[in-house]
Amino acid sequence: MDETSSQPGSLAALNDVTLVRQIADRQPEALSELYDRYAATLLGLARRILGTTADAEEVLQEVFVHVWNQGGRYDAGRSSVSTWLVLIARSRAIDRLRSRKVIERTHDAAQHEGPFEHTSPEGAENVFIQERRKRVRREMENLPAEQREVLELAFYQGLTQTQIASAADIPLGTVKTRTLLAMKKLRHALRDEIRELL
Amino acid sequence: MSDDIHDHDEDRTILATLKALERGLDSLEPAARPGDAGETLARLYTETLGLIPFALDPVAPSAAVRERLMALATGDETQEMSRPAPAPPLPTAPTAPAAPTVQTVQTVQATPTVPRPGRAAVAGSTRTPFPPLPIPPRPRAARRWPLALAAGLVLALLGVSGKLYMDLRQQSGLLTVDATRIDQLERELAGERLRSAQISAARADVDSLRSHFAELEKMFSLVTSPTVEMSALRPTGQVDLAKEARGRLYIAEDHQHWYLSVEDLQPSGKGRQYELWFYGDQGPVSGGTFTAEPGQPVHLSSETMPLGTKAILITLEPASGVPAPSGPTVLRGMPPVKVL
Repeated sequence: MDETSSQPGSLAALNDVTLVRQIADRQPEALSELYDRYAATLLGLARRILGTTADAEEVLQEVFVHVWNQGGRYDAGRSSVSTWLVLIARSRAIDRLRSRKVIERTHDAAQHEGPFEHTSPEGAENVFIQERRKRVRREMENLPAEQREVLELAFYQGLTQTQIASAADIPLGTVKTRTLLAMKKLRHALRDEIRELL
Repeated sequence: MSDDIHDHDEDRTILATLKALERGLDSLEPAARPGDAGETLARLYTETLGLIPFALDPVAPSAAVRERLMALATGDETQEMSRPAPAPPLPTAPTAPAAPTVQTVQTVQATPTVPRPGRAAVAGSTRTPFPPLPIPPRPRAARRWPLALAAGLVLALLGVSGKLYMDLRQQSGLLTVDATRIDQLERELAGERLRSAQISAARADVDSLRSHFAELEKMFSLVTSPTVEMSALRPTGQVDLAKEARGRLYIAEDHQHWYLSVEDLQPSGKGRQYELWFYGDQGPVSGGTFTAEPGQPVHLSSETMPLGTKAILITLEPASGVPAPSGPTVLRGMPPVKVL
C-alpha cells in the first residue's frame, strides 16, 4: 500500500476524485474517507425518500459497496463524485420505494417511529460540506413553494412530470414551467457551488 | 458558463436532464467534448440536481453500517450485509480491524487541513488485491428480471399453445365438417346413381315401349290400310295343342310387309318350337320361330316375304331348328282376302 495514501492525514487532504481512484485501486482507507464525507448526507437523502432509517441504512450500504466494486467505472466527465453518489443513492432508494414490500414497511414504520430524529453529525462533518449544506438549504427555501414542490416530487419521489400533474392536480404545462423556473433559479443561485464541483 | 445559450435550448436541456434522471444514472450526459470540461448545460444541471439533497438535515448512520462496510473492504466477509441497522455488534477480523481505521480518519476530518471536496487533484495510488464486495440483494432489480423473463416465457408458451390448440380445434372442426360433407355427398352420389340407373332403366323401358309402340303403330297402320289383305289361319287337327288356336296374317299392298297374330295356342313343350313357313315359287322359306305362353297371344312381323308366296303354314319343329318343314302342321293359312 502506498505510504502516502495510507496516512489518514494525507487521505483527508485528497479531493473526491482522487479518493475514488484509490478506491478503484482497492484501498479501503479511501473508502472510509469518502464514507465519512458523504454518509450523513446520503443517509438523510435515503431516509427522506424511504421514511425509515433501517431501509435508508441498507441503501447507504449498497451505495458504498457499489462504489467499492465499481469505483473504476466512475466518469469524472459526467458528474462530480458528490453528484454521482447522490444519484446512486437516490436511484437505489426510489427502487426500494417502488417495491410493495418496502412501501408497506414504510407505512408501518412511519406509525411507530414518529417524527424524524435529528441526529446531525455536523460537529464532525467536513466544514466545506457544512457550508454547502447551508447555501443549498437557503436557496431551496428561497424558491417559491409551488416550484419547490414540483422539484421535490420529481427528485424525492421519482415522479414523472405527468405523474406530478396528476398528483398535484395541475396542468402538465404548469408543472413544466414551474420545474424549469426552479431549476434555472437554483443553477444561478448555486453557481459558485457548481463551479467548485466541476 | 455558457450564458449566451438560448433559453429554448436551456429549457430543452433541463427537461432532458430530468428525463435522464427518471431513466437512471447511466442516462446522464457526459461532457460533450474533452475541451468542454463540464461546461455543457447538461452537466451544469446535473450538478444542480446533485446539490438538492444537501438541503436536507444530515443523518448520522449507525456504527454498524460502517463496521460492516469496512470489514468487507478489508477482506473480512463474515459480516452480515443484508440488514445493517437491527443487527447486533458483529465480530471484527483480527487481521483487519475496521474500527481503529475509522477513528483515525474521523479525527483527521476535524482538523483545519480538510480539503474542499470535489476540487480536482491527482494523487498516487497502489493496488491491493482485495476481492470485490458482494452487492446486497436488490429486491427490485435482482429478483424481478428473472421472474419477468420467466413470466414472459410462460405467457409466450401459453400464447403459442393456445394458438396451436385453437388451430387444432379449428382443423378438427373443419375435418369433422369435411367428413360430414363427404358422407352427405356419398349419400347424394348413391342416390344419384340409383336415380341414374332408374332413369336408364326407365329410358330403356321408354325405348322399348317406343319401339313396341312404333311396331304397333306400323302393325296398326298395316292392319288399317285400305289395301291390306288378310289370310286366316285355321287348325289342321294334327296337333292337340292347337285345337282352339286361330290366327291372322296381314299382308301389305307390296306383298313384303306382313304381320302375324295367333291366339290360344298352347305351349310347344320342351325341346320343340313353332315355326312359320312361306310356300312360294322356290319351295318353303322360314318366316321365323316362336314359342307360346298360356293365354298370351303371339305376334310376329317382318318387312320381307318371299316372292310368289302361295301358302302359309305353322309347324311344330324341334328346337334345334330344321331347314324345311318336318313336323306336323299346326295351323294352315287360307287364301288372302281384302279386309276393307
